[in-house]
Amino acid sequence: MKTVERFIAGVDKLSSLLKVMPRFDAPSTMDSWFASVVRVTQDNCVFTPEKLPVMAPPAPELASTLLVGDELYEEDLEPPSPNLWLRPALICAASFVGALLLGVLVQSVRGSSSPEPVSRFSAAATAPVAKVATPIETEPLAPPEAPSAAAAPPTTEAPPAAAAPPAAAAPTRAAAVPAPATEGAAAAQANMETQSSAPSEAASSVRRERNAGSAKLASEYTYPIVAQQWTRVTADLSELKPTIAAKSTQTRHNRWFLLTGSTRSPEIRELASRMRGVLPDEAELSVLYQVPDIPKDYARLIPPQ
Amino acid sequence: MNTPAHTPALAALPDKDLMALITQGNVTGSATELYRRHNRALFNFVSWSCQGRSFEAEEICQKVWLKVAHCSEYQPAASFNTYLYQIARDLLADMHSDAYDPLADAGQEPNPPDDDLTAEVEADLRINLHRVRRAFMELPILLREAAALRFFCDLSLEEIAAATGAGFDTAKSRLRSAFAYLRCNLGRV
Repeated sequence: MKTVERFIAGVDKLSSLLKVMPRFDAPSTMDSWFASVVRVTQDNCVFTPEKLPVMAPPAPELASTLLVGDELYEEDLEPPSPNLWLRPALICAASFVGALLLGVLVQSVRGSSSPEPVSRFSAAATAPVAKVATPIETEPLAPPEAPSAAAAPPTTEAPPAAAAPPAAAAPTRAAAVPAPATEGAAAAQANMETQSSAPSEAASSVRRERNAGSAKLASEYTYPIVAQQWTRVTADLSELKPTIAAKSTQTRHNRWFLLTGSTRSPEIRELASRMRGVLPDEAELSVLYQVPDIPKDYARLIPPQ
Repeated sequence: MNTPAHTPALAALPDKDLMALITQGNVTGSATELYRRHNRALFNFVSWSCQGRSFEAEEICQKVWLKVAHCSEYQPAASFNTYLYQIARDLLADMHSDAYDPLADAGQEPNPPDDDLTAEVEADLRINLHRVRRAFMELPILLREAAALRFFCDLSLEEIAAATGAGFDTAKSRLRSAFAYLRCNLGRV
């Protein structure tokens, strides 16, 4: 056998020298990186209804404070859950009870001199709460710089006009009320401050605040859809895009899309059925999904463990 | 290794079965097993191809493993080794497109002597392995990658041909040329 043949077969001295050369060792950080990758990939691959609430981003707790007379009522709005369709009914009931109490209180304060009938005020307060019809503005997604940016929900804000309180406020009441934690709470507090002087206006403010809260909750009811599982449906999604992409947002990386639409729309429901998720009957839904390409620097998106 | 727990059942499976598991969504165990088996050789191949620039090699290897972990369709037409190194080579070729020009290794090939290294030269080179390393790094990229796949990754000639997208004869010719360069460069004390 010629030397070159022995070299190719790996049995000559030159090839034996090559085999004993020191090898390059992969850095140890690569192992932990890979562990993160497979963990995240696995998490995103398994997409079951049970996992849906876990994958959905946690919504900030909205606490609205109702000050009626000298009593303080607090109601916590829970984070969005799959049975979101119950919320309008609950809001209606809460509005009714609150308005009824308010009306009775106001009438007792004013005594017989007040010509305002309770029934009229109650009727105003118990008018059907507008479903989440407020348009949700979608902001361009932040570029995926931070690890959580890949799975974080898009920032959608409720229209500020819906929750903005009137400028006038009663200073004496404000001192007795704790500082609000959120904008919704601030709006509710401001609403309550105006209630003592204008009950019917206050009721509508409460209603507006409720609607704003619902809209905000619905906007945060977001499915983060990432990675491989969704690359299989995005081909079909391209057909859906023209119809529901009125508010779609494309990042400068051209890889993430945000679709926003009503859960009544057949496209969104079709999407949900593919996700095997449960959608509320009435809500605005934002869907974040990824196009098939893996981001170039996807490795840097893996959150540190 | 800071990877997920080793699964003995998966360790017994061949590469193509592990890839099939990955495409079905069983990523953690299967990808980890493949990583455990092949990452060292892959990293070596990429490092030799990158002239030892470990940062660049790490980046390319990460991209390779990302593609493997997110693979949704895998046709086991050839061995998994071939698939893995093909991805790596494509990435390398994208990064150094000029170096991967097929005409790049069309220079004058030296004529090596037909005998093996003498015992004296071999002993000297074993002491001074850095000379072997430097000579290897000086090989043209196409020859270097063929030799790296052969001697550092233990690929057969057929697998080298498939991974590099060249024919069998071309792969063999590249190894011959690599031998000629190395033999002429290292044949003297």
